[in-house]
Amino acid sequence: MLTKEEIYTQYRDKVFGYVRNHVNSPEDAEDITSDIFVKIYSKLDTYDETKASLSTWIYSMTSNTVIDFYRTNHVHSEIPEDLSDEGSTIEDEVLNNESLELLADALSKLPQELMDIIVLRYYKGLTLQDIAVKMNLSYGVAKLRHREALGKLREML
Amino acid sequence: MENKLARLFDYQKFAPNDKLASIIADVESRYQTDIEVLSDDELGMLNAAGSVDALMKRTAEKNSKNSKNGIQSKNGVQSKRRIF
Repeated sequence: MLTKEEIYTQYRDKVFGYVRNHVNSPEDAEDITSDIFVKIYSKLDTYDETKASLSTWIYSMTSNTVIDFYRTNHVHSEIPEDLSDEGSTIEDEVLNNESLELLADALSKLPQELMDIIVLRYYKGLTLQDIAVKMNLSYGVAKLRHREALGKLREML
Repeated sequence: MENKLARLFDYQKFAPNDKLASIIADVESRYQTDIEVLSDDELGMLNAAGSVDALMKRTAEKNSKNSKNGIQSKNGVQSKRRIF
């Protein structure tokens, strides 16, 4: 088990980088990052390595803190779509480098158009309408391709 | 599946996987943002229609004048170094 200092050294950049990716203000990102480490330290004795890796546990705490930030501050809008916490917990899904590797392999087997739709939708957080515009497709075709891509990924993942 | 993908891509932002990062970069390169960031100088040269034609025209004129005077220009930016 890592010490608090080791956790900070190893995860500070990852946590801040993630928060900065979701929050516009650098000052807010700094504050949130500090809050996250306070939470990590205070809950470290509840961490169960049989349920999740340390990285996944810290990611989960980071992601939840960013969601809380949006909920409590009502910053201009709602929680970004790619941060939705509905229906899943770290216990029922595997989040690690291997699962990302599997996703990368599955994506590379898709036709380019389908791969683009998935990345634009789930990484960039664009709506299907925006994707249709970017890719010069009609909204209907974008919807169809999106569904097709999901079906193919379901078979592979 | 949608939740799973959203979660995996979000985790990618926390702990990037190289292979996935290269796929994402590849996709991003195909759909570069349409917004062009202008420097402060360029912003000052915007015409009423919001285009930088005036700036481009002036830069071209400068470049042509400079080449006549022996001043080299790199990528449209005027160099302050004289080549003798």
